[in-house]
Amino acid sequence: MPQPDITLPSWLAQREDYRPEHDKTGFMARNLLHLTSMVAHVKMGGGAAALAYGTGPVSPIDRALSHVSPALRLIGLLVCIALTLIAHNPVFLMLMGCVVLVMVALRPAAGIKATLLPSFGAAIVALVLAIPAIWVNGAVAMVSIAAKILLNVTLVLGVSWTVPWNRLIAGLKLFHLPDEIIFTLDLALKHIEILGRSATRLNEALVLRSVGRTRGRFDKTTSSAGVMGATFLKAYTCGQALDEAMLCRGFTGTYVCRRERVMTPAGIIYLGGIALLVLCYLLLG
Amino acid sequence: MGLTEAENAVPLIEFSHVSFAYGDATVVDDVSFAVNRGEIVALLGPNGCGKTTLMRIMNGLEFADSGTVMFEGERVDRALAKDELAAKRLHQRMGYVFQNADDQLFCPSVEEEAAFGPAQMGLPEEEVDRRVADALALFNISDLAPLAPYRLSGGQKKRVTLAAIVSMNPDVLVLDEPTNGLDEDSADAVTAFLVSYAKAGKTVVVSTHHRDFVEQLGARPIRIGKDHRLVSDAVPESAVGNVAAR
Repeated sequence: MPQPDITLPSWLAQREDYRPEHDKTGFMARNLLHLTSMVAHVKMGGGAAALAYGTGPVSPIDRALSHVSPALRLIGLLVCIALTLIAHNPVFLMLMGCVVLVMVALRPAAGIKATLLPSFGAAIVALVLAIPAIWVNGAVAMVSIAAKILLNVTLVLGVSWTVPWNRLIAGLKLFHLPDEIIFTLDLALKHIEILGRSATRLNEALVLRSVGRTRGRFDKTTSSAGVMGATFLKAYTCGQALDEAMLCRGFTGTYVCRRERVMTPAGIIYLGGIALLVLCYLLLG
Repeated sequence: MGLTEAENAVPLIEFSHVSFAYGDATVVDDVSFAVNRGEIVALLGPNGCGKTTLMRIMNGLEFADSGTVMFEGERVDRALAKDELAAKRLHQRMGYVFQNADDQLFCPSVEEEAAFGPAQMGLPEEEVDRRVADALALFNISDLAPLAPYRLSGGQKKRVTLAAIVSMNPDVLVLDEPTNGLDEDSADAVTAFLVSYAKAGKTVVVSTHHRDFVEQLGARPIRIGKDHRLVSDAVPESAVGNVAAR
């Protein structure tokens, strides 16, 4: 069906001969864009996504550990961190190092990068902060602190890389955390990602339309404030919509969080491994 | 529109063996196509096939992992995005309307949304006011001028984003599902506008699921498959007459 002709305004029917100008405040929008992109990355670790959706290679150790309840993994993580911190014998630390190395080495490149890069960063910071220890205990103490930090951060990042946030938070039920707190934490993380993405898109829209020099009522500060305001409004409408959605599904005021089975065969084997580590600490300590 | 022969000879937008992935997930796989000046092109395909990503790459919001993307013979890549003036030129020449209007509105009123782009371009106050009035009238939202965008319905917000981008007078309009959320009359008005826009020598790239919208536009359909690869790139018979009329 032929469309009716619309008479376009004269300026729209012509080609725009526009030459943009430099703008000193252009960095603000770009930095804001970078910041909101980082916030939007609070989401399921890549390993967890690969395990859940088969979107990439997975280490066999991570695949085996995915059958263990996240609550048990949290307990195991805390035990490993505690043992590493209080260990004095370098042999035990080397043993922990071997365990961590095997776990990390079998991961895909993205997983190795996601766990090792921040760990080395943390270890370097610890090394620098522990420099005064040279005058107290010599360099051994300094290196020991850095090594422990490296091991513990790698262990923590390994868990966050492979376990989805919502399963981790649901695992807190084992520690008798009220269901409502678990629900609130879950929602908070979900909305951080959603709002982060929304803010990123708004900043992209701002960058796309900032084709010249900011002036008057459209200066960058006002526009950036507009982006933040729009994000806040989105947060408000998200909250309202969630409330209405729960009401429509018969929410009575009590949130029941389903608890995962803890004592599965995989969980028992995992606990056995942790017990073995504790035994090694007691023998080597 | 006063174009040189050289400008007419080179495709306006050219994708050459472009691939892109988010992490391990391929979203665009070896896609090649060209868009000529004055054409209306429709990207068709199932949900998640990569249409929006192609548009984002076109606008320099994402960058191809491999292959090249050209706009007016200039490569659209990270180097261009880092060049402030080149990036601004690209964004003025190529107007991008997002799929979700909420992601594109950040000014306190509809009138300011439409004025933002022209004001950035350094146009005189009277010219900015003229463009705002014309853009709002084109999409039948003049009465919404003083209102805050967040108070509007989804369809109204969509029309506000259209007005806000059109007021910058881009050479190319890239629209992600422009008729989603619009009532029949509004959708017809948008369609009529896009056809008139292309007749004035401008270029239009839309993504859509609606075949009748493609037919009404007389658009060249470019189909992307579920496997994120190009399935077909054809000139429909109904488009032939429209191109000749332009």
